[in-house]
Amino acid sequence: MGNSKIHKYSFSLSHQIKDIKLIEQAIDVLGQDWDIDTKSLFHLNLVLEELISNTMYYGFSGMEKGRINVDLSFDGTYIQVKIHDDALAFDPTVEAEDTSAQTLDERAIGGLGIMLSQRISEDMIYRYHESKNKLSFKISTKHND
Amino acid sequence: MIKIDNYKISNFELIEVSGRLDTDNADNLDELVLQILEKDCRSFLFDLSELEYISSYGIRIFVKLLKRSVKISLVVKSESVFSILKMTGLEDPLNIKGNLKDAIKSLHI
Repeated sequence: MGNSKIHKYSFSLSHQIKDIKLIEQAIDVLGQDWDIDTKSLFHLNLVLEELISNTMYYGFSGMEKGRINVDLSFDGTYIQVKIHDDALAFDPTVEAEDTSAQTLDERAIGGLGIMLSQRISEDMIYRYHESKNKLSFKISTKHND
Repeated sequence: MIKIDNYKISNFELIEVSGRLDTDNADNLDELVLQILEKDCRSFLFDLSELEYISSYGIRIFVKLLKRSVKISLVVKSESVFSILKMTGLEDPLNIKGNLKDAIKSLHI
């Protein structure tokens, strides 16, 4: 596949944690259809899992239904990600805390996933609009190492 | 998909984890570790040589052990898994090694 073409892929999950498996399935599809290296797919998988599981566990807590929509596009360099959901308002760009410099005793067990998501992704932007969380960010497929 | 095998070896527990360690299955490993802890095991060697993917739900299991002052060592071969573990800033306390021999040696010191 040429890099000049913009590739697009969308999928949707319910609020139930069992749907977290759909992320892995989506990554498998991208691995077959898009020309992306395994490290970038790992990063994309990780950030999607951390953010969406957080929404499922906390954002939809006590709710009987909910929907999470994920739109992905790839321009040959960056994977652009948009996540929209109707869970409780939650801004991962505010909640994120870099714990990597903290001692073991200072660390909370939680918060690690959001911190990793922050470190891997770029240009993460959050807004809450018309009762929906709207999060966008990008994952680079160019690695320095 | 995850595969977990465990063996009691002299003074530590060897746990082999292959495949994926994520939100969907980290509880399996967490429960196994808790069962072994109840037997007063204070040293764990996690052989992650065949691990392809890890998320924070897997990493938390190791962090919880460290907080309980349990001695651990991880054998990691995947560059991607290693880079994520490194990103947590816990590279040293997690006692990450590139092979079983070095990991076993580190637990005996």
